[in-house]
Amino acid sequence: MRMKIIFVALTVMLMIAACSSEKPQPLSLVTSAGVAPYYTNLTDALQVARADQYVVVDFYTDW
Amino acid sequence: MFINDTAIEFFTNNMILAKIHAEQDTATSNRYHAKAFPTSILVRKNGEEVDRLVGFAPTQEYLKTFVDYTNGIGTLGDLLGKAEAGVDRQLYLQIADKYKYRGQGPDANAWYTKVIENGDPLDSLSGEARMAFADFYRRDKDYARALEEYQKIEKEFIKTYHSRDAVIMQAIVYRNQADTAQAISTFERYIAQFPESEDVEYAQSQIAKLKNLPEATAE
Repeated sequence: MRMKIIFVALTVMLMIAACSSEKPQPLSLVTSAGVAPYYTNLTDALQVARADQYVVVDFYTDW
Repeated sequence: MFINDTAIEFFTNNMILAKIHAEQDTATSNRYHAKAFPTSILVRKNGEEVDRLVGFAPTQEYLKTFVDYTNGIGTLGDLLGKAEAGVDRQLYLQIADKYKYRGQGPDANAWYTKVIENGDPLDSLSGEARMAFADFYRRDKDYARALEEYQKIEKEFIKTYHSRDAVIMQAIVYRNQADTAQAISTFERYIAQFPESEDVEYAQSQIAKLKNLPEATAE
């Protein structure tokens, strides 16, 4: 019985570990030669910014 | 797209650039009240706005504006401080515009009013303030009030470019509120009254579009 409990506990721990080790969502960074790099998602841009670094948010439309 | 070497270096090593499609990411554009395009806003890491630049600018000027903002130069706070030194209607206009683009209507209107009250109510600066006033209503989709303001400007600033601009803005408001017949006739009136204007081509293209627009899909 004790072995069974340990087995179940280990299985649960392994499952939790597998879930938490999912790769992070790719950032919305766009890079290409000859163009300034930019993010298409503000949350991503703010997340990668250093504490003292500023972000320029350029709003545009297709008009 | 920033393809200038200076801009590439700047947005690689100095500031971070985020390009947001305002119609697709409406949560972000609404959060910052971005209604005129292009609008570029300098924000801190916590998302707090430092200040903004509305409209196009050459790359060097564009980058310098944001570097200046980080040093407190040209920001709303900076301009408000300068305004305490004495009457400066040009400065009042800049302050009003900053409030307008941030969507702070009452503050914008208070400063536009200062522009008008501290000078000739029919001079060029007052005309700009009045046009900006009307523009605020138009962007806020308060078309009835925008039309009323543009119509007053057309009459009161007759023989000035404000009067001319007020006519084409009326046409644009009619178009925006889907009054196709009024929009066409006002664009036509604009062309007839101001045949030398550089906006005649725009007015003609708008008429062509409006005449081909099925009523059911008019915007």
